[in-house]
Amino acid sequence: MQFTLLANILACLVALVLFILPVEANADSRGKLDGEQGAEQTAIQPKLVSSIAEFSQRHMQMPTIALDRLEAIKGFSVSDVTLSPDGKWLAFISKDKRSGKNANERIPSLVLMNIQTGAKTTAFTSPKIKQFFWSQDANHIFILSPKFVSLVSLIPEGDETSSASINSSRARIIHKLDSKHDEYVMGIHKQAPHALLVASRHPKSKTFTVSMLDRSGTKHAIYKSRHALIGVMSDKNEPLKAEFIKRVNGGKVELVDVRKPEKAVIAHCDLRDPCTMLGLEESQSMQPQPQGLVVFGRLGQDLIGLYRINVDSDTYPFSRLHQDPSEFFDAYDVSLKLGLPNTISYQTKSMHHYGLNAAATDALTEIEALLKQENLKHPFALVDSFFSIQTNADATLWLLRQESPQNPSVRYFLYDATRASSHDRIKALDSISYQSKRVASYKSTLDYVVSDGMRQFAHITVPNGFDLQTLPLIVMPHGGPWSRTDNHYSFISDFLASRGFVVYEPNFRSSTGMGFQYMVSANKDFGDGIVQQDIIDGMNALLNAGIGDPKRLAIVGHSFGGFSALSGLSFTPELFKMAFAGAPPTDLTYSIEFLDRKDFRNLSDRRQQMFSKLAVDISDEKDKQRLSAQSPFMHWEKVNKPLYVWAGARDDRVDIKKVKQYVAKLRSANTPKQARFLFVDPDAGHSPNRQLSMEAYLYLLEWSLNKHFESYLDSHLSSALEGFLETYEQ
Amino acid sequence: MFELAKSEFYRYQKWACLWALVVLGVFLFSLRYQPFLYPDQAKSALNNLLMLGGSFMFGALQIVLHRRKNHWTFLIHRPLPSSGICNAILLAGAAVILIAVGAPWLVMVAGTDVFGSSLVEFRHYSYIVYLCLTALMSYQLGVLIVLNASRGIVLLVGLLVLVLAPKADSHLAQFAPVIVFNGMLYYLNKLSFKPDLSTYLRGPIAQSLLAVPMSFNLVYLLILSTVVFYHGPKWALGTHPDTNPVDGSLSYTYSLNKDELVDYTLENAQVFAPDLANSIRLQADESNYHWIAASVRSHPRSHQLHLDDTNYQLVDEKNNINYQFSHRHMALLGKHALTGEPAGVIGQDGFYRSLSEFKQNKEGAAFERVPYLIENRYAAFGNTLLSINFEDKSVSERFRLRDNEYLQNMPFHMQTSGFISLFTNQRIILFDSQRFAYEYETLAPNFAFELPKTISLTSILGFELADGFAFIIQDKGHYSGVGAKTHLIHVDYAQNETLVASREYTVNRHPNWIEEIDYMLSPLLYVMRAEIMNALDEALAIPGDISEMTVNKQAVIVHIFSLILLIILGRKHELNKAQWATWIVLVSSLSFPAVLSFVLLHPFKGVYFKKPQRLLSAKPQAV
Repeated sequence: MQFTLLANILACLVALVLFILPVEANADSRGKLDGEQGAEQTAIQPKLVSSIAEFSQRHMQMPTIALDRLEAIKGFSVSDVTLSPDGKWLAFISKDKRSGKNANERIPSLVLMNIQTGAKTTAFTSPKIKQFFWSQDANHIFILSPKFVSLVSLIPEGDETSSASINSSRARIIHKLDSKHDEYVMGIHKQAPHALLVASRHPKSKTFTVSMLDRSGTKHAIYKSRHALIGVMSDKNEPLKAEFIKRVNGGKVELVDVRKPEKAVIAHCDLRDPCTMLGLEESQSMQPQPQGLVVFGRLGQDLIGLYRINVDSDTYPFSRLHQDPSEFFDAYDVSLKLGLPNTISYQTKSMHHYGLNAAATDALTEIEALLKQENLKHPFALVDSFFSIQTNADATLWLLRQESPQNPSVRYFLYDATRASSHDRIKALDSISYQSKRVASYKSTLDYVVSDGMRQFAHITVPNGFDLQTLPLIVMPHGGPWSRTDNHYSFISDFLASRGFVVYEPNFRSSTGMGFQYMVSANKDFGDGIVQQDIIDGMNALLNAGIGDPKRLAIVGHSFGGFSALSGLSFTPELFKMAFAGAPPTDLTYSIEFLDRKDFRNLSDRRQQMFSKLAVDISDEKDKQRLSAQSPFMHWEKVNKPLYVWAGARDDRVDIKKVKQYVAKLRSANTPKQARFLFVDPDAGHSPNRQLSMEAYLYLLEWSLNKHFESYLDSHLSSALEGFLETYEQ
Repeated sequence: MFELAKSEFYRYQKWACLWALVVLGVFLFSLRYQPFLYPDQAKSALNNLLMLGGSFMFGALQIVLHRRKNHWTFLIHRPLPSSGICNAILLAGAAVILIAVGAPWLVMVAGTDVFGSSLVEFRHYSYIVYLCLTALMSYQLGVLIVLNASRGIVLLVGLLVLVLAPKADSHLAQFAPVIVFNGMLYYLNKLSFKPDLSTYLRGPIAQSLLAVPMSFNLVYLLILSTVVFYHGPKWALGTHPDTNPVDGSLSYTYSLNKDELVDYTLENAQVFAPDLANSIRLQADESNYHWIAASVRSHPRSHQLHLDDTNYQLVDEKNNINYQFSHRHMALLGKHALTGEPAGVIGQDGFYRSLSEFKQNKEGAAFERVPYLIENRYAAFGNTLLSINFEDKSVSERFRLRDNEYLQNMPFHMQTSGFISLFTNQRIILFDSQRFAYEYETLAPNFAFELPKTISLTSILGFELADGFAFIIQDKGHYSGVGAKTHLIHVDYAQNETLVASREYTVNRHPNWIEEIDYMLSPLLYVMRAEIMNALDEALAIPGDISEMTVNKQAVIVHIFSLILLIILGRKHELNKAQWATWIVLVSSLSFPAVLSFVLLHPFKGVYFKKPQRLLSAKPQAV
């Protein structure tokens, strides 16, 4: 009780201090960070204050759970839940424990669930399932494994008329992917009833072919080109006739109209532009109207949204169908109705959906209300929950996936728009939902202004029941760097928070999801540059707001996050007590060249162009030297704090030799002896690849943190983990 | 006699010493490349060729020199009985063999024992005895071939194969044949050593001793003769079954692609799971396939000759210690690679600091059987697979088969599929090769299936399917081909095993009398061969069950024909009663090969064709 009171007083004091502090920089003039339509652009500090107070009040009385490593890793056994186009089935991957002879193994199975009866049947079990696709006629499922395409049919062989039954056929291999031709599956062929699109490259003629792979395993060429093909849209009535293609031309991606012999480029797609052709919008009225190609992408604009390209015009003008109303976030996803967009979603600080027609808007309003009710009804209500949407072909049935940033629960619901009563429309799918009572920490977002005035935001995860000001703080930059942190549950930040740390995950410049300009505004300034400065600025904002103890800071990250951790120790060693870097590139130039040597699908031009705009032009020696010079590898001698490095012996993205070289340099240094640990997982690639490997990673992380912060350490090691750790190269 | 033996020995003494020195030099030079006692097949073959071939040549040469004009008369008219002369010659030859063959080996093995860091035990010395006995046998064969009037004696060289080929299952099987053959050859040499070397041995015992092994080897020649009257003409006419597979025979499957193989297996088959059969059929074309090792290998035997070892040692690279398996202590004895100092012992339950510590716990620590040593970290024996970790000095049980189950071969790494396969007397077990190496995780099979009951398992082909594996198991059935089958088995990732279909093959690709020609020509020799080989080496086993043979009638006809032929030939040779009795017994039991032996052990000239009469007036006189 006394503790709660003290924390409240502290929160008020912090709030007061922050309120008094002058606002140092103006907010960016771009859209609203909230992502909420019409939300008022707010100053930063009051938000921080209210957040701190909220955390304190909400969580002071909750017990702290020292999250078990295995418990943290253990994910939901059901994944990839997919609604069939006819709305009769749900297909999902289940990783339930096997009841067979080898009970400890968890092998994924493709399970089919009849929506009407709830009956489930295992259609296929294999550890090699990579992805699966429903055929457009909902009679077949194509299953993709690293080497094969397999098929499960819901109807008897040769019987097209009978309706799908629960007695699905056995999965059978229909096609072996030709690795010599870099063959890969592009996705489902939306203009054919039951076919996939596969692409391959002829090594001698250097031509690229997109083919239709039908359910019998027969390949029919659709389009050939000397350019790398990364998308094809066919005629609705002639699935073998390509109408529009997406190709890579000299490093640039473009959409091309191939309906006529004289091919015309209809749009250029810039870096990190999905540029996905969704469908052809046809005239619904009797009056002839120009055909519109609906594209989910950027089309030269800042934000990803929905666009309509007039493909009947020679100039191919395009118009915007939808964009984030707050003008800050990229569109995240769309759901379709009869092949055209029905709703659009934005991953803001939470998740926002917009209907693209009146019916969809109404449905969304109703869904939000119904889910709120459902959530409240439930004993373990999901705090700050949000949902994602999938629909069947005619959007009469919606599959909703509800989750929360606070715990690993995932709940599925079906919304049936055809039902008369509003309450009958929503149905919880408890048998495939995962409901965890676990709340080890609280995750929220905070926005702040960095030193050059740019507005950014971060996610922070705080443990329950502590005085935030006294807690050690972990800076955890995300990997990529062209990715982002989001409001999905993160077991690693939950795990670290449960060890008594505040975990700060910034969306620094170069993060994606906030538009093109946000991404390129990093101006290739990694290492000792603006990106690292963003990370430090955000951290300072938090410290200034009373979150975290300024004397107890650590920087932890994986991949680019690891690079950032090394940069933290190289360029601001006075700030941190230690760093933990997982699979870190030590020299970004070297790493990008290393990646470029792996010419996957002959897209080197495209990748090089992307890197030259976003990080370094590897054909320009000066540019290479510039980035190398500001990478931690060149500044190893500045590191004078303990450093822990994890690396995977089979890493194909970051050259482990360079990592070893870096650590060897540190060890040879005459600077005061500090802990310099390098752990090499003998089996892992760029990331821990198995449960034991992940458990070892978490153990090393908490062990290294414990050495400097005396944080909680679960020192009990299973014999398997102990044995595994002994195989580590140190 | 000894004087003669000495003088004979002195004739070859220098040559023997020179040979021994050259061999010793070669042995010392070979140390640059590998330890002397390293079990290398190529080295062993070369050693046999030099030592046994050399002994044979020496034996033949020695007698050829004595047989020269006047030399033989000079030798045989010494004041000694001819058996004594023979003994002296053979004794001298044996001494030469000991120097040329035994001495360099003894020097090397003893040298390794005293000065080297490799483990040397009684079995390494016993190999020298075995090698000398085999060389002596080879020498005696060379002597006999030159001494005996019959040129068919050369067929006895086949006895060397019987001594060398099997990886003997016991000490008795290792040494008994070579000792018995040496005794037999000595006896025959003594009988053959007589003033008139052109006369054939006619005593019943001598003829029996010659006829039986000769017939045994003649069977192989007769099998080869099918090339002349069956395979050759068929090839010439383009109708040989190898190029024109016979539909309905198991051999037809050898000519098929893997997808056709599935179809063919399911054709006219007893299908137990039609749904699965169809599924496998549909995806066979696209699936990857992998051969799975299914050959039986003799398990290492305690105190076996070191050349039969499959592995030499385990190496603790970090500490520079070599661990070699001691058959005496049934444990891996460690020695420092450089100094040869003892460096601990690995028992089946863990590491021991010293041999004395190991001996105190020998009951639980000694290996139950001699293990296969695999990839410098595993030891497999019987139904147990142990993992040896040099880092933390521990031995852990990686996997244990069922109680009455045992490995029939070493674990096999299927490189392309990424599996390790175990072939046991009951199952085929596949492990993911990566998981196999994860010592700290419980090892569980990815796939395991019970082998169907087979008569003679020949091959296993695995097809990688969408939801597991399909296996085609080929059983070539009885020797006659009766009972030949293929089984199609499906095992899914949840390890549910289903026998999908079985197909029996009722057609042979060759006529039965060609397939079973060895049996047809001599049923008893076939059974003898099977019994002898099965007793010597389980890996060389020949089906001994003759109940399914299809050429019994033909065999009876051959028997009767052989007897008639013997009577005709015997009358020409004017055999006495004892000889008649001997040959009737031999031919009655051994059938046609015995008749051929009869021909080879009796003179041709003057019996089958008359000696050309030399006319005094034939030469034109000079006028």
